[in-house]
Amino acid sequence: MIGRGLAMFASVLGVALLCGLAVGQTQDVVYRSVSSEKLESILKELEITYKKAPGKKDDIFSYDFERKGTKIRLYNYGGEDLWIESDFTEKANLEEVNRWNMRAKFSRAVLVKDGDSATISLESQVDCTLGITDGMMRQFVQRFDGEIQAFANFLRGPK
Amino acid sequence: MFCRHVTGLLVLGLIAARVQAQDAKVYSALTAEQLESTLKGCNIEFKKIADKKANTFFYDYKAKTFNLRLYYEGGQQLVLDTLFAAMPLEKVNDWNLGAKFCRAGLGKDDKGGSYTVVESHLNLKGGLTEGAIKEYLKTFVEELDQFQMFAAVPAPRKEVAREEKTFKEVPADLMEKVLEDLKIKHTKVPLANGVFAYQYQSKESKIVLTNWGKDLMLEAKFPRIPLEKVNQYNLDRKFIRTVSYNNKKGEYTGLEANLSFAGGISDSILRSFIAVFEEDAREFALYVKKASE
Repeated sequence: MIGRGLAMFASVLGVALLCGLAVGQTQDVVYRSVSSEKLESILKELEITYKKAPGKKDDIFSYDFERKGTKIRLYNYGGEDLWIESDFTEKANLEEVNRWNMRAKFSRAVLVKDGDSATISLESQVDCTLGITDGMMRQFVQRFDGEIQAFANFLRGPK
Repeated sequence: MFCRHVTGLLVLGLIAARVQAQDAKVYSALTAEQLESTLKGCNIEFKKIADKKANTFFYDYKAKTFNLRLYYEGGQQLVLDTLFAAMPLEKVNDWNLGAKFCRAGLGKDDKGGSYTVVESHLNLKGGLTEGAIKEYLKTFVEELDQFQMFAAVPAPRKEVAREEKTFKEVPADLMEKVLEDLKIKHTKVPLANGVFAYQYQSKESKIVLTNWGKDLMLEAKFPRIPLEKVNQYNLDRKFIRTVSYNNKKGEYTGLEANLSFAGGISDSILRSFIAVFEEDAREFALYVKKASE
């Protein structure tokens, strides 16, 4: 039984090496523009139910959805870049926003002032024109869940 | 009154002569920097991408409704191209029979999708004037207007999809090959747990690339500016993060960009990400200078 499993592994490895792929490499399609259809197919794969709306310009679309009770908006700016954000209305100042940015890797917090009120936008962007794969798009959306959770805990934490 | 008119005419004449003189400047061997200066002179906002081949760069920019790519190929030639939806071969041939300075062709991307590419080549060998380059850029867009009317094709396509080798981890040797491809002279610094950082100078900024194996971080340090200015930059810009630090490393404002490899990444994506950060650092340096005044 073990021998058969090892033989199977060896043959798969052999095929991969024959195809010129080192261990850990795969072949993926790299896009430099993400169409609405492509993005929507990724969201469907992730089982995300969204509400699509047109943006301020013809080729901009937003996708509103919820993840674990938090509202998220994902923008596709003409296929050239993706922007994902969630707004927080908890009171925070520039120092706290900066403290988050010191520790964050894949998101940033920005204080958005609107007259006397302010919200914190937790956000992340990816430049598709540099190249993006399906896996990167999935990762971009899924990872943001973790960023939201961590940020919510950060806001609740000791000041 | 007469003297004022004469003086005005003289000034206009001098300006015109200066412009003509600039356009008459001959590049015996056009460098990437000279090309970029010409593009900036034409108010073209471009995004520069480094190719795997040495001394080869792509410049992506928009002209009217067209997404153009200008290839600088080792100082030997320039190629401009843009993509349209696929059209019948006969129609492509009809265009080529009548076209002056560009040609069209049919292509297939790695997903089997068809497209029409319209391109124009400019030989750089033997030298040419800046005026000739500007004319080449202008003429291509004029021809694209004509092509679009001729073909009655819908909105232009963007970049094609290509199949590439991708990785979820980037070992040190691959990272170093990418830096070599970009001609980035760096100092390798070992950190804890088998992690390496690469320090290099890009114009006025010192950049540090830390390869964590499954993701990378690019950072550049600048003099400290007020938090409001830091926040404003984050509000106005995409893809990067500016952070104010006051720690044992000192007081400074950091410009940072992170790239995760978890979704799979190709070496072309890695090259583009590193190359673009140099431009981000240059722009932030200007912002910090202004903020500090």
